[in-house]
Amino acid sequence: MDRYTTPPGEPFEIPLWDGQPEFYRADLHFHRVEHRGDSYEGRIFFNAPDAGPETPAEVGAGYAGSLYVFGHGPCFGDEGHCEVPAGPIHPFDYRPPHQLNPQLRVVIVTDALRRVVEGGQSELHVAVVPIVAPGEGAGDVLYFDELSLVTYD
Amino acid sequence: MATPHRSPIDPRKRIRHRKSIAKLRPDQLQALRIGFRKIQRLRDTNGFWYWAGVHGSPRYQCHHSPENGYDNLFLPWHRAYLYRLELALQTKEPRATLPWWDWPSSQATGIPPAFAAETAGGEPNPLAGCALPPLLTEREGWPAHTWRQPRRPIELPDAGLVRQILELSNFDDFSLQLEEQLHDRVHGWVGGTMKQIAVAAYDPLFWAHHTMVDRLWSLWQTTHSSRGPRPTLWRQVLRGLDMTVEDVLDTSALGYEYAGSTASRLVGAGEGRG
Repeated sequence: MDRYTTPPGEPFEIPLWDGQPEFYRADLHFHRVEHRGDSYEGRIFFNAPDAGPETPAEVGAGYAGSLYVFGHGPCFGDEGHCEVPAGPIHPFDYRPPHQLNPQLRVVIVTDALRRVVEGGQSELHVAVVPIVAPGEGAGDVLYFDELSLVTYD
Repeated sequence: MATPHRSPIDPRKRIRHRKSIAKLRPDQLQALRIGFRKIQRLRDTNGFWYWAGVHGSPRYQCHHSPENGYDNLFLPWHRAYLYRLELALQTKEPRATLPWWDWPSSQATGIPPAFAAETAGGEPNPLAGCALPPLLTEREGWPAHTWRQPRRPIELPDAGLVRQILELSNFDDFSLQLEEQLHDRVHGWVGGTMKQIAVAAYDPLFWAHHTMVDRLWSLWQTTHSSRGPRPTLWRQVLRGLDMTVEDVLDTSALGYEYAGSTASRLVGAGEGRG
């Protein structure tokens, strides 16, 4: 996809205690991130539903940090080379996992989440805009299964 | 200036210092160029193509973040990888050591001149790039040589971010953030060959970039009680490199370190022992 936003009506709830942030660290966990294509920067914006490739990566625009993915680039193999197998082909297959297995990505967003709370908001909408090359707009490179907001109190 | 000092493991041996590319003396830079030029011509297991192909195409042995984010061998694998390439370099040019690229100090200038200059001493600069092997170039549309498309220098990581990551106390956390926020980011920043895992290691700049990553792990080790991955992983073999995690936990056991300066004085006759 060329842009991710939290589903409408399903924002993250920010953990608060007496209206104050109840965490000393906050992370965004991107689960099963694909890295089979181009490298890219995924710019993360909080409560900025219209964020796009031209939105400046600045605090005032809701910028919360970036996800960086080092992609594999084009396939140099033959047919089936880039297909990720479901598992070992038999119990004696000790080969390492396939290189294109999806990865976990963790972005620390503590300060950005505190700013959201200080702005009087208790819900969080996340937008992620992938940038492959500056000035070329968003690329169709962003693929992951699930996004989690993880806070530590 | 750093001078080789004694190994804490075997005092008969002297430790080599890996230095910032910006601080190499002319003779040290010349040794690095000679070493790279020589191994780029080799087609055997000391050759640059061989080692670049261990990371990416065709062998793909490299370790990056696993699916669960932990049990992460990114740092041990790449430390062993640098060590093996450095030995190949030193087989052909014993004075050569791998330098590190200090990204924050390049925020004004971008790619270090030693790697950016097209020529050096009237010859093509072997640090500026490398021919790609036929295995890759026989694919339609692929150029015969590495290339770069760097972004604006100011977009390189700053010293504050590097410091924040060095302060993370848990190794898995440190490793993951170092990989994503610094390593991945700089690969993307350089662009071209460097931003594709399949071919990144064919760019000589890859090695200075990863030496910086290795240096940060070494700095982290000096300020934290943990040395690296959890002990249950220490006997794990680093694929394609014939070394284990335990083998690479201590750089001095591999004969190098990153001290910025050291000074030693010989104890004169009659001094030093009561």
